[in-house]
Amino acid sequence: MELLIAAAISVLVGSGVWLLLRPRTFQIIIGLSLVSYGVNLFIFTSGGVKKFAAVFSHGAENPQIFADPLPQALVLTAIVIGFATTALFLVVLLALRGMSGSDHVDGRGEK
Amino acid sequence: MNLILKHLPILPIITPLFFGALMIKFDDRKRSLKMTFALLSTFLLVFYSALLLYHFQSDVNSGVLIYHLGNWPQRFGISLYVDRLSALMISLTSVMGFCVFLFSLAKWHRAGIFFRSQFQFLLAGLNGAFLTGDLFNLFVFFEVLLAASYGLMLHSSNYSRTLNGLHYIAINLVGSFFFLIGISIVYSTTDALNFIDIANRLQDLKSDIRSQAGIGFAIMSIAFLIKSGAWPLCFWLPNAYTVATTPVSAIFVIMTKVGIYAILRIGGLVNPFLENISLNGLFYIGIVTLIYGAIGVLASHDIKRLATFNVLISSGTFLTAVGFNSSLLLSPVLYYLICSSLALCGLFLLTELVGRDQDPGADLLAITMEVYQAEEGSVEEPLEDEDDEEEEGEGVLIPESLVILGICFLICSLTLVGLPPFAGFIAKITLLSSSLSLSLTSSSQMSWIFVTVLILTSMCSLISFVRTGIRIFWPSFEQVPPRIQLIEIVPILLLISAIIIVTVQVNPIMGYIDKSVSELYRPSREIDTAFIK
Repeated sequence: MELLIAAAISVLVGSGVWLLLRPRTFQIIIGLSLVSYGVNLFIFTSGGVKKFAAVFSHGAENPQIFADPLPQALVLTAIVIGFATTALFLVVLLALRGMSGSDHVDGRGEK
Repeated sequence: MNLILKHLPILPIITPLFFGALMIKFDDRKRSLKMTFALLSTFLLVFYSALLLYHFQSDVNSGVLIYHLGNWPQRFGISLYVDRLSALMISLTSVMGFCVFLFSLAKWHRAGIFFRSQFQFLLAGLNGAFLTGDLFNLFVFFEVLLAASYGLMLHSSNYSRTLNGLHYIAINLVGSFFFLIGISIVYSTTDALNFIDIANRLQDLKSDIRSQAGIGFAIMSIAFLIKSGAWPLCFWLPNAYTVATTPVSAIFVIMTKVGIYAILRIGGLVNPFLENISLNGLFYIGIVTLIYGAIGVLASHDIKRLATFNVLISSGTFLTAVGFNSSLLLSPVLYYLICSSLALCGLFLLTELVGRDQDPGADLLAITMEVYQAEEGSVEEPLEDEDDEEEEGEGVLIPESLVILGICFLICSLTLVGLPPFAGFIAKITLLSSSLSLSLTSSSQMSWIFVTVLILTSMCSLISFVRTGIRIFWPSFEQVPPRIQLIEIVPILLLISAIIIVTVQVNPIMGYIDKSVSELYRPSREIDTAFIK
């Protein structure tokens, strides 16, 4: 389980970083999204990886079997914030595309 | 009044949020109403910060105000954590916010519908970041202030603002990812997000887990260093600050200070327990930032660009002094932070006013005037008409504008360079003397590097200021004096009087700062929780 999640995070972040370093704005935004998925998964695992553990189950008394609820709350906040800022980035990207006529991050290059 | 005092820690966050949201409800035709709301809000912030400062000044013993949101107990809820340092930063923010907003009333606030709301949200985010006592909440407030700053960066958008805004957003989004990774590493090792809890738990951890938490803090501080403009992470800053509109770049000065504050706050809480992670790395980063800033200052011809590189110099000085990891240097550098922020804010506001007679159009007119040997009056008239249209003929114009601007420029640059008689001189001389006295006991090499680089940087910045001043205020041809409204010069005069107050009242301010530094490095188990119910 740990290996699977670690592999998923590394693939997401790795491809995200590669895309971030590309010169086109669209590649940047996809890269940012991929990195943010990787980071969200990473936050998710900070409470420890447990198979099939619920945050809370009625009647159970041993807290050991519960999953840590806090990282789930954190990841929710991080997703919302990341989503909003990515949407804003998309708007700026389109505005720049309209102004420069090119999708290069520096607004120049072949069209 | 009693109610205000009881909830004082939360008010600087709620007030601008409330007024900012309220202003969205009204459309732009009710401009004067919105203006009143925004002015009221910024004025209230100044009032709150005065109350906070008074509280800490009058109360000798009580160190920290802890405000539990929703009255949840420490382990479960989010708490606000106000000590002398946060009160100081809040006051700096509100004074600068008030002056900058007053300046924007001359014309900039009309350039976009949501400028006033975004400005309020930025202030809310800044105050929240200074007041929070919780790591994840710090992230949230960082995002609040960043989201508002993205909007402000694009305010009155043109091509270069959009281009640099895109870079600015991208790099800050990446910074946020580092912040999140750092937070989750710290949470998985210490099981806590509250600053005090984290510090308490770090003490009990095994040393290998503790160094894992240290890695988390190190990754997190990449985000802070991006905000504060430390060297390898600062290439976005000069461009972004130069192309932004004048009031926006003036208030962005305090944004670099948020990164610095976060480094101080987190460093102060965790540094005593992380023996294998040291702040010394910051020293070298700071030195390189100083050198980069000095080169940039020499290379910049535009006065606004000169101001942005001075932002880097200010950050570099601070990071270097923190890198010594000694409380001896922290007090003078905090004093330097106050006076340099005020002077930078004033300088950014000045750039527009002195640039008004210097814009490329005016130069071009002067050349065409020579070529076609036209009469002066006939050429100047269209220019004045243009200005009239821009300013819509409103506001009281002040006489002898070039003289007043010259004096303001002189005071701001003297403060930044660190020449007598203003606060910058006191700050730099105490910085130099305490680093030299530190060299007697330990780390003499670092002290000498610091002294050399600081003096050389100040000299570079002095050369550049003199060059710019000569070009602007000793014009070679008969130029039109800039048309300046009263509402534009008043905020600058307010900032300058703040610098003078900081200069004259150096003793009480230094006493206050000394206390806040000793609070910062106090073991957290001793923090007496002045519990506010």
